[in-house]
Amino acid sequence: MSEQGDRASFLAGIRQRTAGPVVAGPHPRPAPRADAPGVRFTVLDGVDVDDRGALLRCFMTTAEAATVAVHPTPAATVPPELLAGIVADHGVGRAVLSAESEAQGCRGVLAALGVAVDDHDGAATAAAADLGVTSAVAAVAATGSIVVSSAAARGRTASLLPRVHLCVVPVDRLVATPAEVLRGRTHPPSNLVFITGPSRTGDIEQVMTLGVHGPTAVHVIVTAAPAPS
Amino acid sequence: MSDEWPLWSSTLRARTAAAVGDPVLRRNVANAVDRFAGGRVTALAGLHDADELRAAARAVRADVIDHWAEILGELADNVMAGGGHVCWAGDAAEATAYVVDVAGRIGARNVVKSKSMVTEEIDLNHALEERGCRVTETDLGEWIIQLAAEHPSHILVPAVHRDRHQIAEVFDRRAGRPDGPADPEVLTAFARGALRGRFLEADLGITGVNFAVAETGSLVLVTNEGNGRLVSAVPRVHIAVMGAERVLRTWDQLDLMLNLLARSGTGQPLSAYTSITTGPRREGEVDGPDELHLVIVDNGRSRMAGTDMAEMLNCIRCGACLNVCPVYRQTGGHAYGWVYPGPMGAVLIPLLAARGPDDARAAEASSASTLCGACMEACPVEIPLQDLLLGLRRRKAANASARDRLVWQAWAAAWRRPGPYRESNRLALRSRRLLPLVRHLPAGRRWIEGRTLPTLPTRTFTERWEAGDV
Repeated sequence: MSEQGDRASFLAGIRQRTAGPVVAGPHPRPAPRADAPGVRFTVLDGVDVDDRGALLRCFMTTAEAATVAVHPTPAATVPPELLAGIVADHGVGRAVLSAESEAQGCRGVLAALGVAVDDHDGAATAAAADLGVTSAVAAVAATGSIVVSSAAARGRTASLLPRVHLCVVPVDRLVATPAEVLRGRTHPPSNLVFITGPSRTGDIEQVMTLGVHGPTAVHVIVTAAPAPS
Repeated sequence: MSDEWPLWSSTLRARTAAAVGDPVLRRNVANAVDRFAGGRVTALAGLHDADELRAAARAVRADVIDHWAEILGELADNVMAGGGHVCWAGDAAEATAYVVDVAGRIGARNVVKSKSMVTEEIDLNHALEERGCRVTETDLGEWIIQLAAEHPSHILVPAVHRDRHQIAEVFDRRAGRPDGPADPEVLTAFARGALRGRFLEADLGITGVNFAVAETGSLVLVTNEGNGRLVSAVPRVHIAVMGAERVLRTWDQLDLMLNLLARSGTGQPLSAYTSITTGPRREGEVDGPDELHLVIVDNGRSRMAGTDMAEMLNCIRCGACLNVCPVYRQTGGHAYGWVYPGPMGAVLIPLLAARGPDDARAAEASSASTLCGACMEACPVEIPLQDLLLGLRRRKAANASARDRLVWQAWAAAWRRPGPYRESNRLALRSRRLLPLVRHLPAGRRWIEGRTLPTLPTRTFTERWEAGDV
């Protein structure tokens, strides 16, 4: 840990300039406030946020809008036929598993499908895989995001370098809003990422193209999901 | 600061004329901004009381800037507590010197970057290339711009002015692509293949910072492509370069800002990747950088504090003002001549690019606006951009000649009273047959070029009103 440059004079210059009265223009600025009001989402209107089934339905809508395929299953673990479908659809020959137990739990089924399975031990391994399997610390209904923590996954690139990302998340990690993940955090992991759909770009004539650097497809399997009502 | 920017070698008028004469540019820019601006409206409709949230975001930013020094100090302390290094860079030279030093110390040969306007501002790529580094921009649009050796024209979509055929030609000629189809999917797949190896062999990754959260020393990077995540996760060393104002106090504030940022810019609820980094790789983690550096860049920003331009420090670089601006829509970004285009650029160029108080080249950027106010209406932190632009024009007018000053003062004095106002209008209409002669005056010809002369009525409004005709 080092510090370079002149902190004292850098900050003294700012302190001196911000000490004086505020210059009011024709649109005077509002009274400053440090607290930030909560954000309310129309997509959650009428959704009982304590009802897992309702949250799941909302998450499916928002995630699918972000080009994420969501597969709810009542089973506590990943059903083999679901995994077989993803492997077949994407021609997966090699998979990398991050450290979470939900990801590790896919090893047997993948191996039985003839997929070469590696534990995530760095970028080179992840880059060699067709499929990266992780879990998530949260899935956010309001935005369709999954939230992957480097503390739980013990890495950052299993969700990023393979061309397909599969995230296995138990239904009890569904939350309504990003605020439930963000607000009041005191000891964040080295990396916390909100993933909202596959890697995408519109840089050429605004034509939406998936998989420019990261995955071309994102699958989310929600385990222990309540039966649709 | 680089001399290469068109700002130093051309006038605003010349750049504007070049831009509006380029049909490909005009078609692509209009298509892009219309799409973004429409997406913004739809996305913000997904939030209850979006206008109240914008007002709150403005108030939050005001509080941050009021306590700017204290919050920056807290950020630096927490970045270091989390295992990061901090550099306080007063200007571009200090910032680039620090990055070049780090690159030299670790023996970096291959540098990958994710799009960062502040690194454009300090001209970092050239400084690294002079030291023998190969620098690769990895945002698709920014890579196209780098290959074509030109400047970005939009802060979110740097190659927005180019169409697929021009981009295919750049790839074929400059990136070693065998002549291929001009299809966006094919072009994007080519870029993925070409850049993947660059990520994996890079020894230094450089990113910008969308927000820094002081209370935990966390750095937030928002991208759709995922290149920001790769740049900050794969190489052994990560340097984040941050404009000093991009700081927030708390994660609560971050929640509010993130929900406004992508909705305002691209019309998404959140961008594909919102990545929040706190320190380098930790024990037991298999990737992530061993070293994390945060370079906090002033480079003219602190001069805005405590002035009538202070609210420009609230800007979160979402791009919304570009997308709604009738001037940007016609000209694209290159006409502004420097790093930042659109209404935010028209304010920032005189403030950040100016070489001294009498720099007329930088000052004229404030003229690139109709003052219609669409930018403030779209701004997620409600920066009164039109007020700031007027303020900058007032500053510029302070350098006007005594003759100009006298003419305008006389006009203002005359039109402040009803009698002279009415008489001058009457006189102008009586001599309306002379109007076409305007084109024979040097200044008049410039005004008329590209415009259609109006057909003037025979009587003034006041005359028609008095006659009961209106």
